[in-house]
Amino acid sequence: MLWLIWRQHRAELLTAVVLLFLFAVPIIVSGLAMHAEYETSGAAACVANPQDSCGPIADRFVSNHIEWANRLVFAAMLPLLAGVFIGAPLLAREFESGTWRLAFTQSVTRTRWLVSKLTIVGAGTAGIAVAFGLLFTWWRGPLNEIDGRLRTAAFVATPVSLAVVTVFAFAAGVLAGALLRRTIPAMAVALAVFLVVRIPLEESARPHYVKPLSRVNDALAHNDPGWRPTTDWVVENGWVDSAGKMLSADAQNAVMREIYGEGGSMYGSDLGLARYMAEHGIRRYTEYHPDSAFGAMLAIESALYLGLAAVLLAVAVWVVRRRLH
Amino acid sequence: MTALRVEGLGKRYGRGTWALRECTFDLPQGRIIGLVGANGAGKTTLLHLAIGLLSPTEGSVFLFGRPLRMDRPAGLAEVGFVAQDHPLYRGFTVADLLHFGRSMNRRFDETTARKRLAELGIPLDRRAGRLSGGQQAQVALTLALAKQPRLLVLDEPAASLDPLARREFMSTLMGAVADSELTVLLSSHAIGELERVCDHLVLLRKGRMCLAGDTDELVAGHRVLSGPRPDANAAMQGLVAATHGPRQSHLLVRQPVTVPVHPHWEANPVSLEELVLAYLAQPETKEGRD
Repeated sequence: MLWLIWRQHRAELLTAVVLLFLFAVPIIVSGLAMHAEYETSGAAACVANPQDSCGPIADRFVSNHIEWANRLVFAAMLPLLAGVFIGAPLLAREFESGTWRLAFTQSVTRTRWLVSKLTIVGAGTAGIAVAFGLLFTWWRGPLNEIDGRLRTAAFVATPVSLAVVTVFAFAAGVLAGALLRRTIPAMAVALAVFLVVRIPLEESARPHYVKPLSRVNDALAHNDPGWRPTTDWVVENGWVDSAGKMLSADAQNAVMREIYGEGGSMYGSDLGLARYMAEHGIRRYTEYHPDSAFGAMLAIESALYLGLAAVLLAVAVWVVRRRLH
Repeated sequence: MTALRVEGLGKRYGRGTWALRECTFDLPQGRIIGLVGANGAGKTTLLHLAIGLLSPTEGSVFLFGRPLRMDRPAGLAEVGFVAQDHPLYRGFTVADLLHFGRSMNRRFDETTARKRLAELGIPLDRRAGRLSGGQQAQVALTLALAKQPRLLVLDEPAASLDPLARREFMSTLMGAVADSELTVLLSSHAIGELERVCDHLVLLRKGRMCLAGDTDELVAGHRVLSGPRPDANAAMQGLVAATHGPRQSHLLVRQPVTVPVHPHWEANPVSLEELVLAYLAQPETKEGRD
């Protein structure tokens, strides 16, 4: 059984390793340079010991690397490859080519065949995802220290998140293959299911995995503590009136027009705005996740995607066991 | 002893029509059994049910006296199967396929398998996808035989082969079966071929079994009566098929040779092929079983 899994999936493993290598070379080269710059530019010292003069240093460091850091958001799409090219063909190929009749008439029961394949190939795929996650997260290290590790670009590239999402994508592909029994349609469905689940969950659900903290600041507060690493992940902000009610976007715009005039310049002093807000008892409101929410978020992310994957795989096993043909 | 027993077996795909219905028969051990029927008669469904590749909608299957349990390795080990179009992993070399067989079966006679492949001149380092159709069929048969099953099931094993490859395939099969306890169940719509190799037949028509029995008993139990066209209302016992010529009618009847014949009939033996064709061509309403 082990030999068969190796023989059937060695090409995929090789491809994954080559892909990992192709990513690793530029990431390690640029990462080493970035980590060195982090030290020499003084940004590292600023994170360790924040001072007022640190703002420009940290800003320059971040702006030097933010472009590539944002591009790495596409790491969130890497699990797609696992779903489309490993999960979807796993069963669909057997059904399409008729080899299921060969595989299921050896002396290994169908259930064992299926469970062995799913666990070993699934675990292998997750392992590759962990390697990618370690690579990305190492590269992002200095940026995460300045900007936090909770925002999307950082969080989706963490080893745990990448691995659990990969397992989900794999499971979606497997089930699509079990139901459709043809490789190309299964690939298409795996792709669609992944996008339909992944994007809304990241965009809309993750900010509410745990209840965000909130804080209210006076607009005119002059207790600015100077530059600090911004490890909070702000998920909501706006204005509240003296009664503590959120102002709608329209209400905010009306205030802006009142102060700056129609089409007036928004540049220059915001003293007018600050004074208006103070006079009307309007304050700034922020909902955010502190860095300490990271562990809970990873746990919830893992439970969610692994739970989904478990359901999809269980259905796939059921389909193959019971509904053959 | 009975190798395979099916009782009231039926299979319906989804909510559609029944592919197989009310199938009941016993297959004797150590024989070569032919499953005959037109395309779409339910042969593949019956074979898949018989080895547990499919689960029946109704009825049950017994393998060597025990209920079929394909969720047990022991049950799987007793059956060798060569599916229609003899599927193989196309990217695997022949040696890989032997490795596959070895790693998927506790009992796997690789020595004999290698010997057989060498005799057939099939190179071990060739990918399955690059073998000829005949060679692929031979490899599939070799894999199935190496499991040393008690029941070997072949689904139209030679249908896609050219006549020469077909003859070679059947001779490999017969060579392997000779002097063994192996029971073989093979489906085909080539009646002539089955007549040569099978000693027991099961006939399927539109998802229902219409005849089953040892070939010599079937031949002995039927005869053709020829004579002037009978009165349409006169019932003929065991009538299977009637062909009416301008002067004479030929009636295929199921009756033992010992039954006396009315003097105006001339009784003649029937060939197996005629017999099978007559049953397969029967109108739907008439049940062939008595």
